[in-house]
Amino acid sequence: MNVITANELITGAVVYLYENGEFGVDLQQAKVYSVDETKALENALELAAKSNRLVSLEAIDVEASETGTVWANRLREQIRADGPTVGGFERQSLEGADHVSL
Amino acid sequence: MYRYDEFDAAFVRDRTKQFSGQVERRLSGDLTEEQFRPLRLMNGLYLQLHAYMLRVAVPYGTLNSIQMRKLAHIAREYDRGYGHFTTRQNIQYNWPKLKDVPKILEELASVEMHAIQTSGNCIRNVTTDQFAGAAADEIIDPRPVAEIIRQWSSLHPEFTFLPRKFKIAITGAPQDRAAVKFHDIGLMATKNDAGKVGWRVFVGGGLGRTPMVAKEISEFVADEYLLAYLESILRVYNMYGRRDNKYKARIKILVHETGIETIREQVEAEFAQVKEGILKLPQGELTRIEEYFAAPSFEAQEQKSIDLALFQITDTAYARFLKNNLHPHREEGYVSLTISLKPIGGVPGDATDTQMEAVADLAEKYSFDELRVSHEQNLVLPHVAMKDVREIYDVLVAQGLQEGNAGLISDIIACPGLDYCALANARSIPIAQAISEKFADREEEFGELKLKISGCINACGHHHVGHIGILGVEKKGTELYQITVGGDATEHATVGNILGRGVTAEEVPGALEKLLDHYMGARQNDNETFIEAYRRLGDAPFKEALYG
Repeated sequence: MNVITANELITGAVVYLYENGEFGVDLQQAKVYSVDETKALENALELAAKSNRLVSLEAIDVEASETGTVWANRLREQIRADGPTVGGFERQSLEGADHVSL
Repeated sequence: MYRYDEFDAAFVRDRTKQFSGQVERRLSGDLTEEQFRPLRLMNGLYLQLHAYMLRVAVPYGTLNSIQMRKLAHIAREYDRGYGHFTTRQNIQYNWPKLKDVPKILEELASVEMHAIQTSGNCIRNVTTDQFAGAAADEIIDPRPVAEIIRQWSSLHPEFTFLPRKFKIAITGAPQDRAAVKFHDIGLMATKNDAGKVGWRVFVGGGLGRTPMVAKEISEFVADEYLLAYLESILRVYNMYGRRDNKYKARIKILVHETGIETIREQVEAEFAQVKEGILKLPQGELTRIEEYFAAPSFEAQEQKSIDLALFQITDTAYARFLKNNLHPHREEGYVSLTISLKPIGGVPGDATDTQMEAVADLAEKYSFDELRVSHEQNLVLPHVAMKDVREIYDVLVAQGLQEGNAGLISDIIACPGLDYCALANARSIPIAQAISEKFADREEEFGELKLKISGCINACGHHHVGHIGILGVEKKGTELYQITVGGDATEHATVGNILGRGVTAEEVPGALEKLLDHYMGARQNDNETFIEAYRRLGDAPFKEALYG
């Protein structure tokens, strides 16, 4: 399974593509693409790549529990989703709104 | 300390204005990320895991109090109230927003600072000994020459697009505290038979995925010919350095593949063409720059020593500080004082805005307004009268900066690792924290021990040259840590050896305990350091201790 992630241009904040087509900071709200949705994933990536507000756009591997909790497979992506494991710092937030509209 | 002339000021001002326009065009969509990326990197702005990271240059690690206060102000106003001092004597901010970066650069320019030459395939910020101009063992203060190299390398039209980045380090002392043999070019002060001071030149050193000790290319280059000689090396590298493979593009690979003899011939041929040209440095110009770095007006001091034995009884924490954090000064009654940025369990190299301001105040009051950043990620007050050490220590205690651990196992160099860095494979900071906590009560027992941690093979944490080095790797989604032993960044430059298979994060402190227990049992006497014992004993007993 995959979700689409990027860094937002102004803040550098980690964002994910939501079901509603907007990008926001919460991995749990990300649209999860199953292995059967490769074409839809490619189309979404292509569309998102046209946005000036997104940098380092990519699809990452995730898993989801039966209750719908999503977690990234790689530690790198877990740290991007949760913030640094040291220092007690909150993740970077977006400026103004809590989402990026394409 | 060097002060900007009109050219420097105009250059930094123009670059700030130019980058401000580039940011504006990026935000409006006139520039794509592909177009913008090289521009931001030329101004020290990276995009890391969670946010942008701005790397600010501290040329040859020298700051004054006004500059340090500005760094504190930037941390507070534009970041999250702290900065991270790096192994290249720079400072990084981990959370700036793109829209704020032009304002940050304007703030920096107002105190003669910038973020140029901290990224990209150019000649990077020159680094040097943190005790330059103060150390008792110094032949010459290397900072005037470092400044001249900065001026020569900044905006050098021929070397703006080198095959890869290029790092120069310089030391004026025979004891190498600047790791010069692990730089693309390393310069070490020496005297020729006539007693004239010049420079031994080393080329082709480096860490990263292919660690190499630099080779001596010239045993003596006089000041007046140094720029011409450096230019000749850069020209040979620019001509013959590989551009087809970024992993083989550093000059160390060129030197290794071509051979130092051939490289020397090529450099000498180039040097013969240019040595008497415009790069020949007039003594008058060197003298002019040297005047900026003139020694402060030291006063004769009544107190010429500190009674360490007394404090070992009455105040052991202060005694530890005196023993480990003071370095011999060239002037009687003075010392250089290391302010450790390695509190037990803390993040190596981090300082809060308040701490930076307190250190700036100390520099102004007690150290002739001078501060240094060390490549070991600490701060230094270079010129402190012995009579003032206790007052300074008391301020440091109030700021949580009093750790007397310089040169001990908890004085760890660590890169930001996977907690921040987009290139990292594994975390470094939690490993450093766990180690410093584990051995907090035993570090005096171990004595001098350089521990260095990198979160990937790029080796920003210098693990190859740690007496004990730790390299984080990722295997099948798990962080593993390879342990190396026997590295040395000093004039005895050595790359450490990997002892065997990696261990998990949780196993690292215990693995080190096995190595250190073995060292304690095997050392010949209390004065034999870990690295000396390793050189005597070799890998085998340490492997045995670690893996059984």
